[in-house]
Amino acid sequence: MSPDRATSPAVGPMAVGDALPSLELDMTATLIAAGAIATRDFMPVHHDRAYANAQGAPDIFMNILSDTGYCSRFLTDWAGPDAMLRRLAIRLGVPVFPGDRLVYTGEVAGVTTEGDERTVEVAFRATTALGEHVTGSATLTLPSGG
Amino acid sequence: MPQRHRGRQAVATYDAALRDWQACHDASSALVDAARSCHPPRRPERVGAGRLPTVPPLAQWTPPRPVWERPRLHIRDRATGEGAQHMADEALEEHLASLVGRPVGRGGPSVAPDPVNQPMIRHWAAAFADANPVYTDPEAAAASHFGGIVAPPLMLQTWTMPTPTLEGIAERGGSPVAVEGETALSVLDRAGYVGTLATNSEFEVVRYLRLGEVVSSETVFESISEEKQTRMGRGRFVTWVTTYTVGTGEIVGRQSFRILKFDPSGAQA
Repeated sequence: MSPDRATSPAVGPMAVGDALPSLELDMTATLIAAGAIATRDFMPVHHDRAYANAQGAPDIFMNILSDTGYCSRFLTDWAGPDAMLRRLAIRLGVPVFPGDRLVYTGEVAGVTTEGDERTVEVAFRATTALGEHVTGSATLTLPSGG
Repeated sequence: MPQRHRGRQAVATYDAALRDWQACHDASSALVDAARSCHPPRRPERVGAGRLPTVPPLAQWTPPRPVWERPRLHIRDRATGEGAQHMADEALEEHLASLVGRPVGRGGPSVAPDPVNQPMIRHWAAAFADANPVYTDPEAAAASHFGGIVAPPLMLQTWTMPTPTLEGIAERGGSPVAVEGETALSVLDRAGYVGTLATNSEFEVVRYLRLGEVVSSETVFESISEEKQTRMGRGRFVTWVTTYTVGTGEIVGRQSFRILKFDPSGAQA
């Protein structure tokens, strides 16, 4: 994503059913380990393949704090820098391993305007070839002029 | 493009992957206590001192529901010892009910080792390639609705994570700091619910944090379900709620987190 996109008003009028731009991530061991350490999660299953193998996992796998990180990015990449994330609820599904392509898709589930503030509900999911990794919903508020 | 070749195998490998993942969680269930309670390293206690759960201050304690308001006991059909099992179940139910409202882990708030700061935010934003300028670009942030740099909202949980003792972390099953004695969840392990599977996470954000703010968190059990039959085996859903505060108790966010503690011996094929 270019800095221009992040600093420009990302969304104009919004309506129920509008699709968010999808976010596609080709996960690598580097991304998984970097996400774990950046969220201060030092559990070896998220950075040490030998340890993960010894625990019976085929490889290291993404930690939950990285999930919420990517969800937040997916939402504000679309909603722009003035958006405020008020609520994020996710249900966890299959794990994410290096080599997985993780695809986030979502759509607007509700829009209300009160005063100078717009509240947007989004329903979204992230999937890999193994199935649904997360499904969830989020609430964001935006200045209604934006 | 390994993904394409995996299309047909996906269904076949799904269960195997899930089992592998589960095995991981099982072996690391001690981490769940430690990571979620997020306490700084503790001074060693004298032998045996950790056996009893820490009793929270009265103001934070919610009394257990009276026996007559609790869910009916689930008595399993066992060939022998049904009466004894009933007694064990009743004692377990009572113990679990008494945990609701109590701290997960050893009680007391966890205070972030560092205030909200730009280096950790920059590290986080880079890890997720999040180019939102309100996190790292002072000029763009000043021009935004926020009027200045703010921390990514879901970093809330990161600020209060304990500084780990890396030496021996593998031997501790991934627990970032040494956990001594019993924790509230170990009663579930003893009751046979040794498997752990994270199922839900929900954040409510009251406001975004600014540089220099120091976050505290406190986590209590919100609910422990009655036994349910799940695909993983018989189990109970355990929900705890973490409240994040700054300054003199201003609530800035809340997170509820649910896990399934289950008995893997009863998994359905």
